[in-house]
Amino acid sequence: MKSKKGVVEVQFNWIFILIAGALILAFFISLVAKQKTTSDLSAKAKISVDLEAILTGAGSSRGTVNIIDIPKAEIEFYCGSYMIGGISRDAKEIIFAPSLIKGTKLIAWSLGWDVPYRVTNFLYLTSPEARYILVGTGDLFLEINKTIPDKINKEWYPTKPTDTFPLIVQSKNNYKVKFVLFDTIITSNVDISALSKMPDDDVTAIKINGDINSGEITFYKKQGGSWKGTGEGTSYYLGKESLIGAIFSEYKDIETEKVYDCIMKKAFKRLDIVSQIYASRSNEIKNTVTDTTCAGIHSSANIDLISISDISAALSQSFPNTLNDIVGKASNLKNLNDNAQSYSCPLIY
Amino acid sequence: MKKAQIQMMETIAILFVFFILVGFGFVFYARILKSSVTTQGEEQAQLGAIGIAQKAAFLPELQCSEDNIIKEGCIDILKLNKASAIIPVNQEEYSDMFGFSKIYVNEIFPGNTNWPTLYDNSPSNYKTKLVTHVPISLYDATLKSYSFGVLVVEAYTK
Repeated sequence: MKSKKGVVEVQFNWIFILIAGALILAFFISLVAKQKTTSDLSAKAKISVDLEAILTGAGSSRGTVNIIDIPKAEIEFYCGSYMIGGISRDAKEIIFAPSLIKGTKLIAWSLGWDVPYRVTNFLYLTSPEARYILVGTGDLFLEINKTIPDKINKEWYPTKPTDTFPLIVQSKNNYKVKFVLFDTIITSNVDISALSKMPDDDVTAIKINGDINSGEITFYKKQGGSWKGTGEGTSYYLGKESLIGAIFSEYKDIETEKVYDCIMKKAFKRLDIVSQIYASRSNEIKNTVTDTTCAGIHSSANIDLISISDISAALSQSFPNTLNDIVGKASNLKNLNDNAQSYSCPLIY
Repeated sequence: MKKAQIQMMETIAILFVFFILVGFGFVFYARILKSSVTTQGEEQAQLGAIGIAQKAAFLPELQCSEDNIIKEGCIDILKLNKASAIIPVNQEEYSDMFGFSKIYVNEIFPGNTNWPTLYDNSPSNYKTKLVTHVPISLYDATLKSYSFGVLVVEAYTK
């Protein structure tokens, strides 16, 4: 039989081992936890750095579509910024994207915004898991369908559904569904009861009323198993590039304004600056050339360019607003540029 | 000294050595991590500098065009003249794009003109400065003539 002293010694040894073991375990657990946090942050930072490089490349080369593999992450897009796992970064490009891109692939596509001269490149980002449904029959519908690359998850229905014979859409388990309605088609012509389980904000529609140059866009969203009766709001597009921007972006509030309107304001600010540069260029050419016809062409161009600059400066503060004035001036400039080419003058743009 | 006390001392000594070894390992790991972070930072700075140069070279405010067909690697000097006056006024618009950098154009041949600085947001205190030279042609629309120059992008990190 062991003595009392021996029993205490053995018990104390065990207690000591327990405490020391617990301390060592706690030390390593805290080390692993810290390492995990650092590694997560570092992975997210890497995604955002990689994304920035991708955006720079895509923003510089227009017309290219890239499907990029990304680590499984959720990227939230706002007006002029994006956020990955709580890390926010300013977007240096004009980006139209859904409010959330998730999955392991990102589609990046860019188009030059020409009014009629190149102002900037619009960058469109989306996920292969976001579904775009185009419905219509007219020229604008065909042009937009032709322009949107096949790599984007789009479906097109060259029909004119009615309330009696609506277009019935089935669910394909996408996290976002966007309808683009052309011609006289209205939201009630599209039956979305199969999408009733999706969150209302993730099933949206835009109704286009205009031509390739400009027009009006009305934004809608789902309510339960059908469409919310009244539209969420109205905005405008200038050129098919900005119309496609409305297809890819959302009509959600960011502070006090809608995302699409906020992005377009940035685009109009660039239009203002670029127009000022072209106006000054035409003025310089007008003062330098000896040919009176060329001087006349550049004098008229200068007036139109100053007008476009003034209008776009106002729009960069007060968009949405009708864009008919800019469309008229842009058309004049195109004719003047054609004339400049016919008379072998220096071109306007 | 009793046997139990000696055992206890032994255990404490082992633990002490163990923690010293862990400490050494930790310091070694932290040093490697620091060096890796520094390398990553340098890579990012280089990537950023290239990105700024790429954006500057493709800026519609500067690029030459013929009936809206963009000529790559070409800067219109009439546009450059106005842009170098207008971009500094609208620096806020461009600071997102160019960050801490300085961008200017030098004509090399046949003249030797230094055009006004296009964008200057160079900090007084900086950690690194990376200079990228982009060879470009400079087009004068009034004379319909070309000259040769470089677009210089100085990118800074703080």
